[in-house]
Amino acid sequence: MPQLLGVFEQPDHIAAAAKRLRDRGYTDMETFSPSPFPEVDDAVDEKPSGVRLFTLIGGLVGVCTGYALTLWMANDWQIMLGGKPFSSIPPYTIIAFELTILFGGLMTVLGLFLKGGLPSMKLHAAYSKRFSAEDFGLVVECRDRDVPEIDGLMRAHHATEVSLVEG
Amino acid sequence: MSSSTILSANPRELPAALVAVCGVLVAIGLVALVVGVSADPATTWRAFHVNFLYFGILSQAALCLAAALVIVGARWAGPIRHVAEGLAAWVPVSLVLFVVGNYFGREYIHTNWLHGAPPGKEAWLSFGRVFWTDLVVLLIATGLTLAFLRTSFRPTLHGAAERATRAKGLFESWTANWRGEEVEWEESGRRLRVLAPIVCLVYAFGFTFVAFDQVMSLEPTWFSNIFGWYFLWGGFLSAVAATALVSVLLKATSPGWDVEITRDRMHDLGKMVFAFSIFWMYLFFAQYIVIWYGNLPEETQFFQARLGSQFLQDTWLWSSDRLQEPYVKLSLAAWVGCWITPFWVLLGQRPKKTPAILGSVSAIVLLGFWLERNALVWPSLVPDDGMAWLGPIQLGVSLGFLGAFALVFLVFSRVFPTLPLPKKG
Repeated sequence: MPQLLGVFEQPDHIAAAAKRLRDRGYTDMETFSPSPFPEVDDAVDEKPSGVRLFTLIGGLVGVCTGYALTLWMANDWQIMLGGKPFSSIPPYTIIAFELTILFGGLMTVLGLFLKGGLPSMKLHAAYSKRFSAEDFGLVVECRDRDVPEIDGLMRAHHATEVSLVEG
Repeated sequence: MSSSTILSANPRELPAALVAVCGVLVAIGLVALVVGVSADPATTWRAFHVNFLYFGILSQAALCLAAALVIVGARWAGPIRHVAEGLAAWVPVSLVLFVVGNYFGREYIHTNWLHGAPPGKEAWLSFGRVFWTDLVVLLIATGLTLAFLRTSFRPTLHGAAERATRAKGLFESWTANWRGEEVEWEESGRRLRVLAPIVCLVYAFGFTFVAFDQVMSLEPTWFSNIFGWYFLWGGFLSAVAATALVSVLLKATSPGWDVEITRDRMHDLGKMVFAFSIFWMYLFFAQYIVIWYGNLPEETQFFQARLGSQFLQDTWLWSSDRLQEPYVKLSLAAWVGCWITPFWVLLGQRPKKTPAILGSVSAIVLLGFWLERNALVWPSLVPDDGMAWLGPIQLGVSLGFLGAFALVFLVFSRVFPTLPLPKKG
């Protein structure tokens, strides 16, 4: 299937074009942007990123590990401190809190790599160096007969050039 | 909207119905105060003190929020900064209320040390030292607040003196030596960037004295170094919640605000309420855990009086009869408002972006902090009666404060333009 590349100069232009294309039913899109713009991400896909599930699981595992580890160790090797019982919740809350953050953070990084398909050694065929400098790129995969419509739609949203992606 | 209408002052008529409601509330407050002072001065002045602290700290913290937005060069906030500045209009009133409450009500507020501080604290806890230290801090803060507000609003007041039907003299003095719009905007931005860090530092360090003297010392044998931060952070969180609530209300009622309070801006306000409530809980826990661990009577007395023996037990195994100890229910209700509700309700993205949910949660946070201020003050003064904070006099005085606070905000926001900030600066 052909891929059409539109080049834009402003983030709101590419966001408007992507939103319009998605409304028309073209969901297979890819954007290139010199820096992150939330409006561009939201225009391509409104659904929240799946990475947050990794964070949630990491955090829950962390809080359980924190309490389990401390309670188990304190009861396995009993040392009386300040007359407190071995299974004291308040101080272990600190460990549980820290492990929640640690595991949640690590799992977020893992999720970022897995969901983002990183590391990626092969660049997208439509990528060009100017998308890391000042321009925005929007790639849409479509059927042959849809090419003229998408072409017109991108130009109507201030695309400076529209071309078919080679290869 | 053209840029000239955006940036010029638009003094408007006061909304009659709202002003009438505020007037009724103030009248109720005055009646409660007058009747209360003759019938039960102790309860009246203590309720006065709680509300002085709640609204006074909230308004000063609102200015800190505006200052923080200036310091980080926040572009996202738009006219929200002016909402926070409007809440800070209460600061000069608060200064007067401090003098009234602390001078006339000193017997009932500083009861526990006024006629004999604990050994070793005689010099620190003397009325002269406490009164003058806090008065100087509040005077400096009030001066800074007025300077900040004047600097922030001056460039928007161009031509206001000619158009205004009221407060002509005020506009004339605030726009004296006008040097052209562009120069004024630039100068305003430059001065605000100097004033903003000073405002925040005075809040953090100066108001720590206010927190120590006016709240912590009500229980003169108790001390905690982190108490100032904890108390002031509560004020900052309540200021953010008040800003969010007012923004949502303006969106629903005022023309021009519906397009300014966007979903993204509500999302950002919601994120601040959410994140700052976590930090408040963090500070509370930081204070609590060392006291729990050390288990020293001079430290645990503070929690004993508020949370009862439940949270000073070795474990937290729940026992419902401990709820019957004085002030435990009040403290837990405050905790639900200050942390549980904002944390769990605003956890997701959608609740933060929904005006009704963000507004309701902000209102609950504000109520939570009012309860928290009560829970900080009353157990030190009336340790045995867990309901001492609630009664007709206390509610009357509180409603009076609420009405007066809302009235000051209304007048300020109608006299000075609140829409919106320039794109640059």
